[in-house]
Amino acid sequence: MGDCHFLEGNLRAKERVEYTKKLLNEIGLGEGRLEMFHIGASDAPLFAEAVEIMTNRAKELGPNPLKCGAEKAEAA
Amino acid sequence: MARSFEEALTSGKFLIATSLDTPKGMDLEDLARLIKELKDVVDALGVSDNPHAMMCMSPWAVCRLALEQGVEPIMHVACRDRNRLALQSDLLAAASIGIKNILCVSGDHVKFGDHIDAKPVHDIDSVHLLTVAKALAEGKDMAGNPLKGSPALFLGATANPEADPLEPQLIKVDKKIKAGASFLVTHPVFNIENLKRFMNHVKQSKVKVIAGIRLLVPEEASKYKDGSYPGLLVPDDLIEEIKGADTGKCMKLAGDLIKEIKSANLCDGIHITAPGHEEKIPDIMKAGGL
Amino acid sequence: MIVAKRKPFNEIKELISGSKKILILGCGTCVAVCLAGGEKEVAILASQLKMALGLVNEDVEIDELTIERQCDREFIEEISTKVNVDDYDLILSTACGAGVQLLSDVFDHKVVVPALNTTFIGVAEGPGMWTERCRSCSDCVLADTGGICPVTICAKGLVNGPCGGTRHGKCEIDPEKDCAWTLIYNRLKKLGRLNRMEQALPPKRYSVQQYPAKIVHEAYRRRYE
Repeated sequence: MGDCHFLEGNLRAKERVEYTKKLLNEIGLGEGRLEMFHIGASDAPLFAEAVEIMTNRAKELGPNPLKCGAEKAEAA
Repeated sequence: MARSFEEALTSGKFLIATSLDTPKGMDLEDLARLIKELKDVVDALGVSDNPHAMMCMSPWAVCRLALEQGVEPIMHVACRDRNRLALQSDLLAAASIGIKNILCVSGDHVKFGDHIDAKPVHDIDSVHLLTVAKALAEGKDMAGNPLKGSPALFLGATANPEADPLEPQLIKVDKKIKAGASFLVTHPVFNIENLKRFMNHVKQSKVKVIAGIRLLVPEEASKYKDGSYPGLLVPDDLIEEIKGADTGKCMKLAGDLIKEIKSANLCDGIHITAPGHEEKIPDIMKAGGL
Repeated sequence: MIVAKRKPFNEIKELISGSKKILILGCGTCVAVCLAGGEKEVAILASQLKMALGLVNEDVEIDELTIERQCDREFIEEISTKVNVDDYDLILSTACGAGVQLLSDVFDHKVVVPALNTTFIGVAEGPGMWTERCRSCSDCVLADTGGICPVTICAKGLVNGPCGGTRHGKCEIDPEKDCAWTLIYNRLKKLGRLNRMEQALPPKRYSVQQYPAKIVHEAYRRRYE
């Protein structure tokens, strides 16, 4: 951690992601749709793992409830 | 009635004082019993003013109880809860019922108390309060208006010899003495060297110094460490020692310090506090060879 | 500058409930610098509200606008060149309390509600951190206290030295906070001005603090007579 091409840029990003999660929680959407992973540029397996995690989580959480509403409205 | 506090203090006798907290509510029975037990062993009885910023009965009521029982009270007056009007009117009221000895204090911050949303007043500070009380005694209020009859007051202030850093504390003590403090009641002292340093500074003045002695108890050890008691600066090694100490040991530690202070002839008396354990005060005195 | 903090989100939702068309009005001065109510914070708040209201199927239209300053009529007048205020049921202002009030004065037929809690007059210590430095007491003592304000920094506002609670140079109420009088002592010592601390400062003169305070510059008196 902190071992970033932009010096401590990844640490700053982490703080901001945490903050954004708080904003999402306030909205009522929950923080689950946002995640930050620290992955080295050459670390393909870790990248694949992160994609897997997020794909599964997206399936678990279901469609974006805000968009769902819009689709329902269009269908009606 | 015994000699007045002022007479006792100026007589050169090694003075013994203690302080009691007023009740939260109307029950004065326990306090009356305690005053009865203490009145013949101490020279003066301090009565705290919303101690720790906990709402309790006003001290003047308990001071009157002390007077009735024949022991001279020292009423604590905290700048935290009243503005300059209320402070002055309370001083006049206290004097009217025979309360003469006033200990002027800033007051622990409201954060420590049971009304944390209260406004900390601090309209004037303890140095100002001394100046104001002295002016009242001389027949003038803070605005310079003449009084019809002036109160007889014997004024005291607090200081902390254990404060770190000590120097700013000493500068303030000098201001308190200059403003009219005739006696100082120190915060609890634990390190005799700190008290010596403090005494070296104040002994140039005529102020009488009553050193604070606090009974430390193991069940409060963690609170000594984390700063739960403002102004109580217990050295780490002493906290460790207290942790495993039984009642006898706790009393001995307080007693040894009393002996040390008395034999070194460091100051004019001691002020023993044992919140929640006031009934042990006579035994602490015994442990201190008094 | 004035430092403020956004109100809790649920409180803001409560404040705007029942309105169908809202203008979130930002302020580009102090509260923009302290990341509480500038253009960017207005955008974030608008998005949050749109999404939160969308989740409960509430149809509320939310527009955004940020002006230079809400504490100055000159800038408030610009609002009408950009939007029609009468289109909105409610204005949610992200200015400090002063800005919200002037906005309410100018648009006194509109409901104006605050999105921030105004907290203190302070300085930026570094990116994202501000500390309080002034209580605007109208009776400045900084010359005697080495440029460190005891009225603001001391938890009890003591003007004549520390209380007995100084703990290793920290305040009795918070070990993270410096004892104002330790700072003042060290500063005065460094400046060779400890004699300033040795003199007792008089009690604060609250009579010089008018509530609400008002200043008319001498050269502008005629206009306000």
